[in-house]
Amino acid sequence: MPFRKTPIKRKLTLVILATSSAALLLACAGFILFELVTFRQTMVSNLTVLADVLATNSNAAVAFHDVEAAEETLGALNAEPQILSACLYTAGNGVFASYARPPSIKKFPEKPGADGHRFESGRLLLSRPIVLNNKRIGTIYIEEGLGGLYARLKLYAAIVGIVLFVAFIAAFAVSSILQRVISGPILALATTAKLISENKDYSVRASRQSEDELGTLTDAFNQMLSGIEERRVALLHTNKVLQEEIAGRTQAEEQLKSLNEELERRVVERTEDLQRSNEELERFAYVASHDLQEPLRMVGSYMQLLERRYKDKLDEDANKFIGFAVDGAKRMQALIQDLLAFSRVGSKGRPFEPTDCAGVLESVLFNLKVAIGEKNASITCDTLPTVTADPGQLGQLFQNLISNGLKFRGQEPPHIHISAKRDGDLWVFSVRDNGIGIDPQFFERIFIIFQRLHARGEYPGTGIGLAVCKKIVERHGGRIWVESTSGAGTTFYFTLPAKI
Amino acid sequence: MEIPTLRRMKVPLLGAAMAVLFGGSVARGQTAGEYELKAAFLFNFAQFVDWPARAFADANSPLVIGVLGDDPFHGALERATQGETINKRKLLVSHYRRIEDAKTCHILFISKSENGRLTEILSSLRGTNILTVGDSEQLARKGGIIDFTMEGNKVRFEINVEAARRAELKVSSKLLKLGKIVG
Repeated sequence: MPFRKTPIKRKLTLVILATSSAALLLACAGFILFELVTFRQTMVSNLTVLADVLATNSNAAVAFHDVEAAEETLGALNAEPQILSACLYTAGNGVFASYARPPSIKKFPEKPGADGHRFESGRLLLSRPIVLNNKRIGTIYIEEGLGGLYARLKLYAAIVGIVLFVAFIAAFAVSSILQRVISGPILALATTAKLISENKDYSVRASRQSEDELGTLTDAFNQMLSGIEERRVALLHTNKVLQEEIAGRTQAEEQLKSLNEELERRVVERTEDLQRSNEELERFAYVASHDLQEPLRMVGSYMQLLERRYKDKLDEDANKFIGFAVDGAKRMQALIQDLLAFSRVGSKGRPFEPTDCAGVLESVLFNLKVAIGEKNASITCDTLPTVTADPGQLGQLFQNLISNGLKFRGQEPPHIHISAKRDGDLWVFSVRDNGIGIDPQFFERIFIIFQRLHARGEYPGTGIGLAVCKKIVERHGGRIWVESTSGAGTTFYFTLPAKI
Repeated sequence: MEIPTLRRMKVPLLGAAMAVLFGGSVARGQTAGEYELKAAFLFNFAQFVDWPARAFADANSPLVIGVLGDDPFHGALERATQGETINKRKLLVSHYRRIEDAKTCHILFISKSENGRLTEILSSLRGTNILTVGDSEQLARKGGIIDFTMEGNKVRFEINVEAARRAELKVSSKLLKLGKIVG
């Protein structure tokens, strides 16, 4: 099992075991090393003492050349199994007496080495002087096997092994118990967390088992749970409120929708009513104006007859009065004519057809030839397009606008220019004159029926012409407006759909 | 290591094997000549024997090795003691003909030429602190202290412990161990 997946209990035990084993191993290694060093030092010093004792005990034998006595002295080494061999040399470096274990093996060199010790091939070699009366009379040489050292090391290794084993078992037992101090609260926490995530029950609380960081962790965990619980409740509440709000809004929307529908229905009804009443009104206006013509014509005719026949028999005042009456009748007739024309725009219109504006303009100019000649006016135009329109009404539109330009002339001879410009889906027509112009405050008023800006004596007219223009343009789905500066000419604009 | 046990151990003198092994070194000792060896031994005796303080006039007085009778050393004794000191005392070799002259020395080698009057010499030296060394194999047994003997071709010596005690000389146990105790 990889260490990452190992349960925390086993991890803790392993960590404790590894730590204690490492410490113990290091301590034992240090101990063995220390023993090795000190044991070697002890070996050297013990062997030195032994060599010095032997040297002292054998100095007389050396001095008196008594080999037997010297070898008897060396023979005492028999009690020391680790001494492999020993040898006494005379001052002349000759072998004097020797000892070997076993006696058949001669291990000492022919000549003594320098005083001192050295470790060599598993043996400790030592040379010491033999002194008599402060005078060197020879050398003692001893070889000691390192069996003692090895045996000691083996013993230590065995002890260390046993100590390690026992300590390991003890550490395992202790750590198995002690790890619960740490792993217990963690496991409890983990169990609680798992329970919560499985059951989604945030009211569960972990029980605090210790006063250390794990206790703090448990507290923090519980606080988090409380926070989650609180937030969950708040969220539920907010959700409920939102749902209620949504329900309320849906209801309001439905109400609004039904209101809208009601409104639309009423608008349609009202529009139908309006349309009906409008149509009735137009029919009434048409019928009225048409029927008004007959008595008016009669009034006019008889007044003219009266004038013709009784002109000389009546006094000056009577003739004047008759003149007023005739004039009134004529104006009344013009008014009715214009009113009829106005009402005809809506009721007597012809269907739309592709119409060449240039041709329409040409016939209009022909109709106005007399007036143009009288006023010494010049009419110019750019290239005009073909549009979908009622040709008669389009002609009336041009005629009214040009007549307007001719009527409201300034000091100079009138000049009128007609042009058309494409703007997206629309044609924008303009009729520009150099007349007296219009004050901007009247820009809206001039398109209203019967609205006049001037006295009848100044400029004749019924005040219907521009209203008719507006009605024609609107019937064609366009718009009409005016731009002008008082005294600097007027430009009328109107739009017509460009699609044919 | 129990050193004292050494003395109690009775190691039998090694036989032929040891003789063959160490014969060389022993032979080398013999080549120096019997009296060269005996001269060295006389010097060595001085190192293993303590004299009472009154045997010397003062702390700087030399240690005198005397030879009574014919001199068999032919200068070997002078060579052996040349420039040597024992306990800061210089060594001095003196030759005597008459025993009366020899009473101021500390070691007295009595030559074989005096064998005929050993008893007389010893009685004359009674009460002195002189280490008497004989070359006759008789002196120690007659009341002298040390006697050279020959064992095969090896120089050995006998020690009369009682005589040494009478002369108030302290003989080292090491020397006693090497010599043959008589008397």
